[in-house]
Amino acid sequence: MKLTQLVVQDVRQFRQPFTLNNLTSGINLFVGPNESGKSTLVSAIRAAFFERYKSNAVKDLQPWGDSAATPEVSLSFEWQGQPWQLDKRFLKRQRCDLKTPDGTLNGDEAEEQLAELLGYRFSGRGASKAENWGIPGLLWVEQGQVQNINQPVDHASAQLQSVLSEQLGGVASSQGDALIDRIEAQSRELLTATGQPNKYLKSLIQADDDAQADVEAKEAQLRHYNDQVDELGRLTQLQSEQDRNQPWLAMREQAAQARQQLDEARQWQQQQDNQTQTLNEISQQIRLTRERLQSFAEQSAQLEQRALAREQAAKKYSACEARKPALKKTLESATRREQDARQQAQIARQASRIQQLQQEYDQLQGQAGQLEEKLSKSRALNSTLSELSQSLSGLVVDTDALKTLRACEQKLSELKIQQAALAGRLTFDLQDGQQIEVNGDVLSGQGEQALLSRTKVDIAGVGSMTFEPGGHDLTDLERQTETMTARRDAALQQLAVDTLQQAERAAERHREITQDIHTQREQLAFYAPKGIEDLIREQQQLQECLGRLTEQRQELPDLPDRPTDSIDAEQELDDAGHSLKQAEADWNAFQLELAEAHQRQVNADNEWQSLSDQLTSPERESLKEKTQNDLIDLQAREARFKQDIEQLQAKISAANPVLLEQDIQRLSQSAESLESDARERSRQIDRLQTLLEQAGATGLAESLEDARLIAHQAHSRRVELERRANALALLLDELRHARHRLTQKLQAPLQKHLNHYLALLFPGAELTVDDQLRPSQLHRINTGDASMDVLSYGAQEQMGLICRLAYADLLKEAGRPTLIILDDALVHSDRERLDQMKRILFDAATRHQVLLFSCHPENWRDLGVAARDLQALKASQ
Amino acid sequence: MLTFLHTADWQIGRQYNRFEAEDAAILADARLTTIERIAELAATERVDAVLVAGDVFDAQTVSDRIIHRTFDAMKAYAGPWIMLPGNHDAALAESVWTRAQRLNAVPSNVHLLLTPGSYEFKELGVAVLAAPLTQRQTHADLTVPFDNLETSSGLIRIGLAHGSVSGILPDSVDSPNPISPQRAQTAGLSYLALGDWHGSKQIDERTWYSGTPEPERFRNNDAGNVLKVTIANAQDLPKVSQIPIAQHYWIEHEATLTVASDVDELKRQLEALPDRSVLNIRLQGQLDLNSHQALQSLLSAISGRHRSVQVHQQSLQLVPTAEDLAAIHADGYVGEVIESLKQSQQQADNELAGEALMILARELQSLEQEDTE
Repeated sequence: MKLTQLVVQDVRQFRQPFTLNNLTSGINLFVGPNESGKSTLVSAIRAAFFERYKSNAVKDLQPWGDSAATPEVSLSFEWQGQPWQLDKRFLKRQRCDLKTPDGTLNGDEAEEQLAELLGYRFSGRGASKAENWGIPGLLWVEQGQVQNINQPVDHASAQLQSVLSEQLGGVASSQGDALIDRIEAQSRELLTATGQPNKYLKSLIQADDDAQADVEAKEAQLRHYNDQVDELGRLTQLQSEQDRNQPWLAMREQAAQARQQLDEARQWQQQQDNQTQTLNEISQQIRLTRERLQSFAEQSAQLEQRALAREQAAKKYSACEARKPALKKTLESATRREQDARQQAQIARQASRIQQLQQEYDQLQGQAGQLEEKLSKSRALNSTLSELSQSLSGLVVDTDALKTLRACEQKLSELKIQQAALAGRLTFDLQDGQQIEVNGDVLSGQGEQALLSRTKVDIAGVGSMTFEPGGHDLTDLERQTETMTARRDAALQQLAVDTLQQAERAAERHREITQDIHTQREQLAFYAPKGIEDLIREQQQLQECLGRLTEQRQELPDLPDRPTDSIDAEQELDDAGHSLKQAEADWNAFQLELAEAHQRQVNADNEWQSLSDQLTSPERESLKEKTQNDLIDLQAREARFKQDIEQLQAKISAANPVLLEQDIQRLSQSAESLESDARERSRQIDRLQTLLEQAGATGLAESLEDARLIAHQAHSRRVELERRANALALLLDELRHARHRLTQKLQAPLQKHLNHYLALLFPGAELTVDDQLRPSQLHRINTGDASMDVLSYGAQEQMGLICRLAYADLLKEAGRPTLIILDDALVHSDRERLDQMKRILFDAATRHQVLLFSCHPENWRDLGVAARDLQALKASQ
Repeated sequence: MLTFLHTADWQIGRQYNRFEAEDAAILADARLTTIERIAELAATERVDAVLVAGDVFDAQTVSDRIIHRTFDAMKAYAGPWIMLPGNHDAALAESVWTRAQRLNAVPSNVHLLLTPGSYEFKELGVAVLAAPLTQRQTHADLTVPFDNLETSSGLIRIGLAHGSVSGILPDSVDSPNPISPQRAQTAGLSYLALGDWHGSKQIDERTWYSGTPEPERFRNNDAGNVLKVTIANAQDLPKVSQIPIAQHYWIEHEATLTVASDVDELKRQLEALPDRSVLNIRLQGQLDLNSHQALQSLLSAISGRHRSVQVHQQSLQLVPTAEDLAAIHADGYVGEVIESLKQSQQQADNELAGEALMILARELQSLEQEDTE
């Protein structure tokens, strides 16, 4: 289709006729500033096609303020090489004439012919609306509307699909979409949008399930009822078969018999117990008897033992006796040795004293010689002391001797007391004229004498008797007394006194004088340290001493030349004393041992004698014999009882009381159990009968049948509706798939044209279209997918134009008229994109006539066509 | 000369869950009114007794009301009713019979033979040898004792039993309770009245199944009768006549439809059936849209004449012709869908595809009508 001329008159600013001619088949570019009439011309073209000539909705076409004006539009175009012309006058003297190659059409007819040719519709009433515009609505783009593509496509959808369908051989369906709508509506009655059962269908399914469950519950009830009936039948049968005869009675009778047998067996057991007890007693007696016999045998053995003991005691005594002489001898020799030692010690002491005196004498002699020399020098000093010295010289006291004397006296008095206490006494009352000699002393008349030591009593004409004082203490005391007396005598001699009192007095006197002399000497020593007086006195004293020593020596006996050393003698005396003591102790011990041995011998002898007497008594023999006879009797009784017990045991075993007890228990329990079962059965029968009577009255079977009826109907309804739902789903699925396949077929050519243009703008990019043939996704290599509405304003504009060009190509291929009108398009595109779009437009213009109106002539200078200035055109007319 | 009615298998209390609730109630009630018809028949025919050979009740646990109604329905005939328990109403420890007795529902002229043995009705000159079921099922022949049961001389021996005669009936009988086919002969019976088989059936000269008086299933086996039996004397063969008594006959009808005239033929056949029947119609084949519409009209029309009409037409395929499609403007991809469903229906016998096709056809027709309007 090619528009060749446009004439307008009384249209807005074009009051006078304005002609736009020489339109070419490619791009026709019209430029001019705002208000120059570009949009008015576009509006005029649209009104000429879209608005009914009778319409009053085109008043905006009238020049401003001239309501009387009659807008006229006249269009000349070629279609399929033939000239067409449309003349249309609005509002007043309305008319519409269409000159076609086949003749002229007028009014509505002309308008319908035109709408059919271009693919649009008229509105029912009033101004034409976008939804009526069809194909031209898509290809004629008003100012600023290029990017709005979806609505125009929707409005052209029917025409586009019809075009495409024709092209593809009639695959579209005239009823298809309406049918799908209706099937969907029906499907929604049963299914959700996702194909699941909806609330209503779900409720039917639930009702079916509930009804089935109800049936199952009732079936279970009926089964339970039937089971109870069967149980009742079974129990009734058991009752009539088993319980009627009361079998427990027979069992109780059996139990009673068993009990009787058991009682008998228990009596035997009692008897057996008694006999067993007696048997035990007999056994006990047998044991005792045997023990008695045993004791007889043991006594004989004991006698032998005692004889042996007696013999041993005798042997021991004689052995002891045998030791006596040796011991006695030892004792005598010890006594002798001690006496010897005592004598020797006496001599030794005297000898020692003599030696001491001699030494003192020699010493004094020496001193006297020295003093003689000193005396001449110290005589003067000594004169005062001479008196004292003279008096003192008579009073020389040996202090050691004095001490010894004192001790001896003390000891002697003690010994005397002890002797007096311990000594045996010899009391005598002799006939007048008779006398005895005691230790050589002649005694007569009456008297008493202590026996302190061995005392020999000689009786004239009779002989002598020797008394040994008993106990060693007295003997010892005597010996000590002798010793002490000897020592005292020696001390008295040494002190040259007769008694201790003399010695004490002398000592006292000596001490006083000595004290005086000491005082004088100190005075002498003070005046003449080696005082003469002192020396003289010393000399005199020495002389005195010498004299006295001589005296003392003279008092002492002469002794053999070589006297025993006093120390050795004392030692010997000591040893001998010890030996004697030991010997005496041994003797005494022996005496004791001997006495004991003797006593034992006597005792052993007595014991033996006593037992021997006992064993040989005649009573004992008869007792032994009786005991043996008793044993024989007892053994006989034991054997008898054992036999009896065995016989009883045999009877008891035969009766078997344990088994009898078990029998009684078993039979009693069985009887009890049977009777209890029977009672329980009877109770159960009553209970079941009651239950069944109650249940039977409820009409279980009918109730079940009712439930089954409801269940069957619910199930049928469910199956029916589920089948319908499935059929609807299947149908809908089939229809949608078929439609989708169709759309895909339809999309293919459109896609081809889209990609043709897109390749110029975005190489490698792809623009997909949806089922309604609307552009949906732009896929670019670097930026990925984007839906149309997120693209920039400029890009949306470009896509809008590309799509329109592609639709135009599609229509052109289908042999439909295409005219593209663009009013101020692509104002938002940048330079680079615009350049590409110009190439695209130029390409499209090789197939379609394009009317391009713009107020930016500079943008389109390189479009390859000369721009026509509307103002210039207006001015020239 | 003895005349009595032989009936059995009343199955009182049976419910029909395959039908609409209303129909089911009427059919259940018909079983009771049939008893009334039997009682009236017995009174009219002046028979000496009515023998009922088991399965009087369909279940042990029917309601008390049903028990009362059953015995009440028998009141038109005052003569003796001699009734035997069958497998559905066996004489168990607790049974519909013990309940009936407890309810005092059993009239004095009704004799319940609840235990096996011989029952002598001297005023009728009859000894009835009864083999009641005392268990739900038994695999022993309960009529064996008949052979040795002594009866007073001069009495006509009539056996009354419920079960399946071994080797004679088809396998699908209701009960395993076997009965020897020679029983009438071996037990010296003048007549053996049997129950359990729901059609009237003669086993030998002296042995009959009466069948149920009111059918309750689609088995075309001569149900719906009572037998009138006349015995001149013990040795003579009995005279047996079938008397139809049913109110509703149960008819199953099958048809294969392929062309329009098949629908017309079906119409003629259905119109020939007795009124108030219970129909079960099974259809198969293929019909075009017009014939299918004609068939639906026919089915709708006959449903008014009968007690119940159930139609199974899942196997009947709707096969729209090219003319059909043109008439409903099934062009473009809708045409493709119809073709696809048609093929799926025919190739795989796909009921769902058939259903979908019918929905589609209906919708297209109504679209077409809207457009025309």
